[in-house]
Amino acid sequence: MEPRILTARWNVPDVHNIDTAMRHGAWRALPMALKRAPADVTNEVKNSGLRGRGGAGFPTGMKWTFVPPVEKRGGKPVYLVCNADESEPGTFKDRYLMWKDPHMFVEGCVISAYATGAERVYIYLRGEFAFIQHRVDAAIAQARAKGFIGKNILGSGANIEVYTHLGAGAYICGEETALLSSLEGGRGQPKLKPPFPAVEGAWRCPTIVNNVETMAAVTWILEHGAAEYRKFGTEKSPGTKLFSCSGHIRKPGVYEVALGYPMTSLIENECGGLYPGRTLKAVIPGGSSVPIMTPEEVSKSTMDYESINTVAGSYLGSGGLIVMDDTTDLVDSLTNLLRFYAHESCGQCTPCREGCGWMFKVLQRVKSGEATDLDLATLKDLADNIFGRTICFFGPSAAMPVQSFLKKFPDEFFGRVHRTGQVSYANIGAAAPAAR
Amino acid sequence: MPTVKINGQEVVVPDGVNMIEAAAQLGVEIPHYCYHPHLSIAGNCRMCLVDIEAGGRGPDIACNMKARDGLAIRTDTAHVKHAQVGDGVPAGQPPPRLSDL
Repeated sequence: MEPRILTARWNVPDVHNIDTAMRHGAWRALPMALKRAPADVTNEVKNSGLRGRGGAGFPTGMKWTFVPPVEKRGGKPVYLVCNADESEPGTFKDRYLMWKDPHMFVEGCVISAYATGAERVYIYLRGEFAFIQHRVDAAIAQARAKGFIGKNILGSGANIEVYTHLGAGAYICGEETALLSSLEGGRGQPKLKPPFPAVEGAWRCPTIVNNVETMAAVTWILEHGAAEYRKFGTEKSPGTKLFSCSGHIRKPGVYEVALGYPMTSLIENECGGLYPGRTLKAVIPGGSSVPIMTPEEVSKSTMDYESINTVAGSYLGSGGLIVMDDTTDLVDSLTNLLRFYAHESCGQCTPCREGCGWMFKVLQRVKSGEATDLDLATLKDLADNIFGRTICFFGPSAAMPVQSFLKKFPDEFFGRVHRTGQVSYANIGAAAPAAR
Repeated sequence: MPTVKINGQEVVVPDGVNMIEAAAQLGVEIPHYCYHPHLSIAGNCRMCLVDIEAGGRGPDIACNMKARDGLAIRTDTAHVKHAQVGDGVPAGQPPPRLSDL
C-alpha cells in the first residue's frame, strides 16, 4: 500500500479552507506539541530521523540544536525561515504541497518555530509563486482567527507570527544564505560560511532555514510520533518523500513513496513507464544539479539518500526525477542545463561567474559540430576547477552535471567533435570502452 | 598567540590575523585580489585558496581563515596552483578561444 503522509488530504475538495482541513485532521499536532517542552519537540523530530527535504538531506532535529542557547544569544531573537523558493529545475513538489494542503505546511512552521524558540517565521516564496502566496496568506489568516498563530497561542504563552515574502524569481535565492540576503532586502547573493545561519543568519541573528516538505513532515511526526514515522523508509532515510517526476514518462507528476523504494518501480509503476517502443537512456535523480545516472545504475538504485550515492555517486537532492529515453540528445541536454547555470550564476565569485559562461560556450561549440576533442578536455578542466572552490554550492551544482555527463556518456561527446588524438577517455574523466 | 604551520614551517602569529597575513610573516605570498586589510572580507575572488593539512577542511580561502592553534595549510601543492585564479582566468589548458571571451 502506498504511504500517504504528505499527500493524505490532497484529494479532499476545499481542504485549503481551515474548517474542511480541521475536519480531516489538520491542526491536531500543534496543541499536542504545545503541551510538551520545546526541547522535547526537537527530540521527537531528532528521533524520527527526518532529513531535510530541500536537497542536502541534513538531519532536521540536529540542525535545530545548532541554535545557541538563550543565554549565549545576547538578547538576539531566533528566526525560522521556510525555504519555499523551489528553484531547482525538475522540482515541483513544494508548489503542490502548498497549493493542495497549505494547512499541513503552515502548522509545521508554527510547531518548528515553537521547538526552535523562534517568534517569527518567514516563508520565502519564489516570484513565480504569487498565486500560492495568496493561498498561504489565506491559510495563515484563518489559522490566526482560530488562535493557532499570534500571541499566547492556545494559552501556552508562545507568541509566533508567520509572514510570507515573495522573492523575484532567482535560482540562487534557493541557497540558504542567498535567500537570507534577499529576505533582508539586499541582493540575493550567498554569504561566506562560517558563520553558519544557525549562529548568525538573517539580520545577524540565529536563523534556521528549512524546506517546505520538511515542515509538513514535522506536523505528521508530532501528531503520530517518531516511532510511527520510522516505520516508513529505511534505517538511515526514514519516512516518505515527494518525487517530482518529469521527462519521457507516460504519467509525469508528484508522487509520494517511502524512501528506499526501487527507482525502477517508481518509473514503471507510479510514472507509468516509458513511451511505447522507447528504451531508457539516462535519469537525473534529484534535480538538475546532481550527477546523471545510467540505466544500469538506475536498475540497482533505491530512492533514498544512501543508495543513489553508493551506486551512482549521485544524490537524492530535492527529488526531481528527470527521465530521458533513447531519443534524447545528451549534448543538447547538457548545453541547455549550462545555459541555465550561466544565466543564473550570481556573479559574486570568479570561478562560477566566469566558468559557467565558458562551459556553456564550449558546449555550444560541441553542439554545433565545430569543436575538437581538446574542447572536451577544456570542459572537464573548467568543471574540476569550479567544483568545491566557490562560496556556495552553485558552482559544484553546475560542475557536477558536466563531470558526470562526460564520465558516463563519453561517446556521445566524442562522437560530436573532431578527433585530434590528443585527448583520451581518461582526460575527460571516463573509463576506456574496454573497461566498461 | 596561536601557532600555525604553513608549508610545513611553524610560525607564531598575533591573535586574530588571517592566514594571508600569517603566511606573509614567513615570506610566503598567498596571491589575493579582493582582500584588503582595511576592508571587510568579501571572499569572492577565490585567488587565495589554500589546501588544509590539519585543523579544518579544504580547499578554503586564506582571507576568511583566522589563524588558530593546530591549523596547517599548504600553498605549494599542484592542487592549489590549479585552483589559484589570476585576473579572473581559472588556470587551465587549453584555454577557451579568444573569440569566446
